[in-house]
Amino acid sequence: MSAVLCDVSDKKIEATTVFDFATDATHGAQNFFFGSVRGRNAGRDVIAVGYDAAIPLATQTLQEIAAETISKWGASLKICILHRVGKLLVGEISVGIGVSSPHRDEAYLASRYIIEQIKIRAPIWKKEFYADGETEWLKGHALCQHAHHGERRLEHARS
Amino acid sequence: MREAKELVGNEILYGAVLAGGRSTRMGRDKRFLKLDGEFLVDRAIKVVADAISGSTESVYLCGRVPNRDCVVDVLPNLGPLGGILSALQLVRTKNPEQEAWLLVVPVDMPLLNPNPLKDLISAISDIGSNFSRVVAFEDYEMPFIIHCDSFTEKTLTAICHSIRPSERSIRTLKDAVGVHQIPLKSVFFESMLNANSPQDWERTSTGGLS
Repeated sequence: MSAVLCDVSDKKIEATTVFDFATDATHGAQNFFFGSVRGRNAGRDVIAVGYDAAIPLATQTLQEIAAETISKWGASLKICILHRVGKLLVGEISVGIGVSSPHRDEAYLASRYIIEQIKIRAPIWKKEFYADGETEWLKGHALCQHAHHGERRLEHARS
Repeated sequence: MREAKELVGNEILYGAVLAGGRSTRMGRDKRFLKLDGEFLVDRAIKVVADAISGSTESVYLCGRVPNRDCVVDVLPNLGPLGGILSALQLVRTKNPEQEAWLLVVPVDMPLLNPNPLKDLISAISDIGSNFSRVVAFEDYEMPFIIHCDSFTEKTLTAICHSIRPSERSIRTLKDAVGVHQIPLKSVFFESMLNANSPQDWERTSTGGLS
């Protein structure tokens, strides 16, 4: 039976929370991914990253991604997805993903799918704070360039 | 080639006229009601083009409108949000490297003129480094201007995909992406009247509020 924990909050992500949830005595594989704030991006020294989101909407999106993952890689998966919001210093964990599955292949694939979908779809915005005092909202992924949501069309409608 | 209005620096401005409604309350296709000899749909496009100081080609007509170039909704049956998402994605596809804004106007404001819309455009520069990605009038759902970026696109897509239909609304969108609100000048109150029913149309087409 699958189990899912998704949360978007300003609380520090504890690795043990992810470990503890994404574990099952009947499973032989656990895959964990943690994304953290890096101190350099696009040639600039970064001191912090601010994450902002409409939390209910972002949480709902994570749940949707988890449900898709289960539909792709099996009903027995256990999935934990935690995402921080707020201002995080270099080295702090911004996202934690844990996937538990009977075998390693599903765990790897599901974990990769989840982080990529978060990058593409989750309405969470990043603002970088630089060592020189400047800040900048990051552009993020161009969702419309992905096939997931279909192609937009221009047409001449006839009566 | 669509020519979009340039704002400051690298920023550009497009328009979107939402014309996908079914005109249920009106009882006939309101997009083709005539005011001063002009269909509402054509009138709305001109007003928006005037406001953004662009050509009518920089204004997207959202919804299937007979005999007009239009933008078909990427995701069907989402009402105005579907039209906004389609136009926003089109703007982003055409301008991947530029900061772009989209002025969104409904087709059914017969008395709308470019001046209140120009006030909205002017207010873009007030946002500064705030998080707000929409500029709107206080107490009015539309018109508004939305920044066309990855975050607004993701948010709009998430609203369309992930939440209950009853919660999908322009209000939800504004709350999620942040809205910078400005007061509407009283001189423009009348221009914001909607024509949703025959009674509305009677009132607006005969010169507005008496």
